[in-house]
Amino acid sequence: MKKFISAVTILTAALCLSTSVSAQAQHKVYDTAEVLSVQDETMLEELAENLALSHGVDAMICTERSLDALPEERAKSLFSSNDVGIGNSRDGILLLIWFEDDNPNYIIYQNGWADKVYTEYAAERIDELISQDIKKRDFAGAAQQLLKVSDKFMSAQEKGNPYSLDRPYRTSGDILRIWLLWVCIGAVVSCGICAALVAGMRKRTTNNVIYSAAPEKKSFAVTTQRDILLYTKISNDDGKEKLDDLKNSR
Amino acid sequence: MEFTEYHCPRCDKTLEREGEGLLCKFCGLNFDETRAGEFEREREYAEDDLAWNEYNSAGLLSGAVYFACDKCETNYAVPIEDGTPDAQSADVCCPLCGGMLLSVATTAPVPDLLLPFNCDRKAAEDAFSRFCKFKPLLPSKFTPHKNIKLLKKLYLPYWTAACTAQYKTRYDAVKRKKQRTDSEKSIQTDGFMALREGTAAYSGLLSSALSTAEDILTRDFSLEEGKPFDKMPDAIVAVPDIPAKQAQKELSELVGASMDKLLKGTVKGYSKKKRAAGRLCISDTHTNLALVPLWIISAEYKGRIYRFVMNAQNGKVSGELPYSKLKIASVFAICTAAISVVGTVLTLLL
Repeated sequence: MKKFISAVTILTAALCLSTSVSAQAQHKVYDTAEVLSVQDETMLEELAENLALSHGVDAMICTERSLDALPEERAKSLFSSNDVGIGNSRDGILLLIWFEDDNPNYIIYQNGWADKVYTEYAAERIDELISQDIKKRDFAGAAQQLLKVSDKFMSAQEKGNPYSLDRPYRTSGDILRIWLLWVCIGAVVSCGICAALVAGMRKRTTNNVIYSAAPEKKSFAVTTQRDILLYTKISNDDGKEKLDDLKNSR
Repeated sequence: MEFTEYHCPRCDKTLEREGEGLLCKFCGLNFDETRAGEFEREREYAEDDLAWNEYNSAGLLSGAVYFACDKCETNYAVPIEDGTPDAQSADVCCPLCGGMLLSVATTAPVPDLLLPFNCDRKAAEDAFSRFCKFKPLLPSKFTPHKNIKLLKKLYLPYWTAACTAQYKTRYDAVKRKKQRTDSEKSIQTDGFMALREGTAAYSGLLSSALSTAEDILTRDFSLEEGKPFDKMPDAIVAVPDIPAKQAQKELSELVGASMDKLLKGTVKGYSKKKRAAGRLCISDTHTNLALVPLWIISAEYKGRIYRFVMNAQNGKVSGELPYSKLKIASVFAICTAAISVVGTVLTLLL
């Protein structure tokens, strides 16, 4: 019985190892559309390898000139046919880029634990980040962005503190924008502080009181006070009266 | 009095005769001759009658030697002690601008009134230290400790005057009433001539007698404390350079403005009022020359003179201090950096 158990254990371990080795040994980038350079492919392979090592999540980047099926179905079929995914739950992500009338499109397919990481917030945020690169036809950049951002989201998930609307994921560009905004606010406030300090120093200047004469107490007396009515004029309104005046002057 | 020409009270154009009355073709207003004549009598007043007395000095200052500043050209009378000029006083630079004092041959009129020094040097030094306190932008080279040595005792000459003023004035005033009939709205404008005449007595009027120090002090001295001048005081005396007549002209304007303000206050119940003519008569005048005590620091910083002045009679201070552009830039940079860092961190954390 013991021999049987140890044999099964060895077999299972060998099977797992072979699966893992096969997952790690296979190519991570399939550039059928030929939009990536050799250097890009090497770089993306390395990033995907790192993701697999760090989080146990397989990653694959595929590009195709056109699709003969629905994008979701094609992505799923590529995921299955290429044996993407690590472990029993086949944890993995796949980025599929294809073209329609030469316009690039993309879809991200995720499976297993990766599916948990890709919450609605994460999907939206990743979409925001890589769609810019796709539009600019920087497909290597988009793929690189996906792998790097996935690494961040997965790390946060592993630490039990995932990114969400309450704890947003911020890129260095976002942080720079926030900092610049605060620099502007700081500059305005500082201008106010400097102006107040300068005004404080100039407050007690010599010319701030204008001298005016005042009569002695109880010496002022009005000796004549006559109000005489000189004329009365009735007009429809001020504007009409002015118009009449102008006509008369001509 | 009969007039050959009448003017419209509203627009001042010449009125034309139409039947028995007078018509302003510009305004379309009709006037009867009595009313137009009444306006004509008050239309223009004779020139102001300013009967200021001729100021005659009691003589020339004795017991003093004279110096003139080579920069602002102010003349000073410096007291002679024990038959020689006060060494300390004669050696000093100009109290008003810091220029060099050179001996000159001139004279100065004997003032009528001398106001007392109620604040001593210690009080002036303390006041200057307080004045410089909590001024973060003050240049580090402009230290109170260094400038306090420049504190000087000085008498400034002021013209003082008393008079009786009589003011006659005409205000053009209008009352506007909105009227509403069944068919239309209209505005009735009644034009008035408000005639006012009043008298008032003025005393303790003050005008600077020194052109280089016209506005360095607010004119709130108590002349009642003044004593008749009998001998040269133990402080530098600035020699007046503004003649009494020029000061009397300024004082006439101040008295006129004051009377106008008082009489305008009696013209009530109008929607609009405007002074149209006025005549000021000044009589019973007395003009004197008074010496006002002050403590002064005139310090130069980057080619500009900054003055600290203390009215030595009532202790009131005024003045201006320089500020360092480098310190302003530092405050700006530090505040901006602090706010931006704190703001960014708080935004990322919250």
